[in-house]
Amino acid sequence: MNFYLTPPTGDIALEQFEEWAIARLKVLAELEACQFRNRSPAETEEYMKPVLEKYMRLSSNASRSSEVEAERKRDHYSHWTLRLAFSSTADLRQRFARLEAQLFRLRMQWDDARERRAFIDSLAMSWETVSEEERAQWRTELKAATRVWSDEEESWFKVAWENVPELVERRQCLLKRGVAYVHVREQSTMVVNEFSRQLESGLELAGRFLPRMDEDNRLSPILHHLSQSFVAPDAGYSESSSIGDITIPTAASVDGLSQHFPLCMQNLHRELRKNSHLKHFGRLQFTLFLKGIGLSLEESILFWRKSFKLVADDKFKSEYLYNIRHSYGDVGGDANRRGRGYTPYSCQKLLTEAPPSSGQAHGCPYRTYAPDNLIALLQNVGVTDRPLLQGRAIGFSSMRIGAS
Amino acid sequence: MPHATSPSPEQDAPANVEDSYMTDAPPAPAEDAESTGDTTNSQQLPTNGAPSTLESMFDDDDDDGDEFSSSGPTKADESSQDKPQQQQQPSKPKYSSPDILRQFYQRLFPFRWLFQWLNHSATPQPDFQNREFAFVLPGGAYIRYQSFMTADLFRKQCVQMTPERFEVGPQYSVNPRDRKQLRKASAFKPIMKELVFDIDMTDYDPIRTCCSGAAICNKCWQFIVMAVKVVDAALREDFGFQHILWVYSGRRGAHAWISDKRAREMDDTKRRALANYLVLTMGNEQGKRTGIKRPLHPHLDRSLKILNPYFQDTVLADQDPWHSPERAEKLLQLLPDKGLTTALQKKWDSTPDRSSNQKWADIDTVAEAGSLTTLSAKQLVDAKQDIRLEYTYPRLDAEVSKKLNHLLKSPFVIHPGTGRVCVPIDTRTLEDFDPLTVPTVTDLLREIDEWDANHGTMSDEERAKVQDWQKTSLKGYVEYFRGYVAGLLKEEAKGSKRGREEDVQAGAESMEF
Ligand SMILES: [Zn+2]
Repeated sequence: MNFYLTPPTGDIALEQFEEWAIARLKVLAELEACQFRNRSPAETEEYMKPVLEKYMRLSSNASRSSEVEAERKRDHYSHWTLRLAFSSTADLRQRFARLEAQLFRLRMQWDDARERRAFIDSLAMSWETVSEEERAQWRTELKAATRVWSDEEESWFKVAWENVPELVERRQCLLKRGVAYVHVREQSTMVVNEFSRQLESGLELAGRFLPRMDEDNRLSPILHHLSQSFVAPDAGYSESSSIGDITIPTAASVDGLSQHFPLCMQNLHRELRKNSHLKHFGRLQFTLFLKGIGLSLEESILFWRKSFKLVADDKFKSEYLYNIRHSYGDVGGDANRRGRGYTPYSCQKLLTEAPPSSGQAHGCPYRTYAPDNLIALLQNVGVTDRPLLQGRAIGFSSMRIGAS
Repeated sequence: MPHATSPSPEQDAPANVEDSYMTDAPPAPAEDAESTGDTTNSQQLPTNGAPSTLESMFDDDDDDGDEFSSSGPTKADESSQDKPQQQQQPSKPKYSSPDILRQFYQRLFPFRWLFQWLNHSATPQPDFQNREFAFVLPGGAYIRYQSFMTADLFRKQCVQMTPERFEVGPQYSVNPRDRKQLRKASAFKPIMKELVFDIDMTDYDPIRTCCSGAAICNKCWQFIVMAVKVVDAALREDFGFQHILWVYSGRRGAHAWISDKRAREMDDTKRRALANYLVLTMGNEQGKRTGIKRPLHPHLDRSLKILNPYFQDTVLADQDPWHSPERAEKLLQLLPDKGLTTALQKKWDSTPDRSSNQKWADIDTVAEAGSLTTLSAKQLVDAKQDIRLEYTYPRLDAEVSKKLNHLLKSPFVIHPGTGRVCVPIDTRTLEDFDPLTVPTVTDLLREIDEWDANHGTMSDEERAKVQDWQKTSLKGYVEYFRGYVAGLLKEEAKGSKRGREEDVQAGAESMEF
């Protein structure tokens, strides 16, 4: 295990640099996929074992494998390569840090106890073991604060409370003048949190230094390519790159085009037509999508005005118009205008946002719909292939468990 | 709703209520009554380069709810949503007249100590110079991002603009007045602020019977006393903070400002953690219990020890919250045992007019007579303990504490509704503090005149040695504040040498990457 505190310094071939990073990227993508499919921690662990074995084998120190050295090197280099590749935007940084923390957690679980212990000791996290004397003195309080009691050596330790905000927030540690008394069972969570914290600040720092790296033009295309291939994180939007001059959509052509929309957008469109209304998040998701396919602000306002046909003009103006204009960056604060509003939502975002409640239609139907409803929806939009539909129902019903 | 508490940088889909505005969007201009003064200022975006809710930035200090519509989203859903536009429009109280305010700022306001308090040193530091102040002007305009190089420049602007009140915000990475010259909006971000707390009587309305709304009396003020004691104890004993200033909010609440370096440097994650550590989520109005875990966490256990005497005196005796049959219903809802509540109901039906004290005692009597059906004796003890906590434990407006960039009304300004000065509260004599005798600005100006009249025979030279605030009942409060600030500066000076060396080292390390 490694906190990746220092960047590698040796020379490596450029191809290796890229090859190792791509292997790591595959692992992270698989991890993320587990999350999208709402796999349980146990399922994720089982699924990831062979993936890691294949792409990023890390033998334990004890294994004496001659490969150990090379494996560590790969691990170290690939982490730092991706760290650079993903430091450019806050969104990428956040995603990368989250996945790396999960990877770290997995590996920590697999390590044998002695190795884990040695690793934790090696960290400069300044935790101090609570002495026998103190354990006796605070016995009742320790018990009441953490609801466990064990009086073994090393079952309690002390850290500055700022290091364990999550335990403080839930009142799961004892506090004495800014020092948190923590039970040892919390230690692995703390280590992972510390890993995330350090990685996040490292990424932010890297983000600030990145512009200077552009000068090394052997590296930057590779880094750029790596970050691009990390699934499309957030569908980009720019007026120039939307579908083009041939088929500029208009308010009137949305109906016709809608049969080619992805399922979530078709669904929103159908709901809109059915009720002449869409709730806030649905509206937002759909507006941004329409914006992404090139519908202009004027056409978008026209489209929504006509679609909300049961709504009076002044109500439309006071309650809906501003949001549409805001999505396009036509109004709002400096930053919103500069950024021309929001970008359309990516699948990743729709999959990870809070699911809709009743009466709402936003999100990803593959995730949020019950199998029966999903089949009905797919049939409605023209999918009739029976084996395919059955496959969907089975595949997605297992996905739904965590989402519902 | 999470949106109000954390406008995170990447979050562009506000988890807002249905059909409401996007949180990222500043309110549409027509509705933004606050920003009539300097609209560019008040719409400028704050922190982390992220669009963020204007409203979430500053404390709307519910204390002032009746006068101001700067109500933030956290409170908007509760009561103040469709606030009547100033009902006593024609007769605006005279203490917010520009003339009175000018005299107040000129003659009485302790600018020097306020400056040192926020600056942590006698000579101007970025702590003060890059700090945001927001002014509420007579007429209601709200101007943000004011900053001052010295205490004197600050004073001059107050005298000139005569704000009804002003609010204190964080120190920013650059001078707030220069924020628009930055190439990247993200370079403008809050870096330090006192940890703050807001306790307001509004949150006690469901359990107080003596007053309602904006009114307070000495009976219900005890709820604030209890809250101050519990929060103060936790901040000192659990978190080790020492520099805690409690301030009367001018009408019916109190604020706390914690100036320990460790507190000032907390990021939002830590602020949220600390605030939630102190907040106790109670059973809601329907009596649904959220279940406080047993054994009680040491913080709750200590709090209960502080609060128990108040439960007897303030709650049962003074407030008598379950006297009428309708109110007693509430107590019954909090007792999760059908047999017990039926028996109690029967008893109270046959002997109406029993006091809360008697009814509280009845619970044990009736239970001992064998009417418990589902609860064990131990569970009944816990349930009663929960009720005690519900009626005594501090009700914090925690959102105020969770954000580094939240603005809060400054100490020593005048509350526009009452005219009273927001004076510091000396916790050593907390029980003696009487909000109803806190001087108003007009009292103070009269006291100066009286003093001058009574000292007509004094030589001009002697007279010049006495400052105006020393002639008034503000004197004790200013002196307390001055002493408090001196203690803070002393501590700060101790730490500063070591601090500077550490800074240099940290700087060198961060260059390595
Ligand atoms: Zn009262």
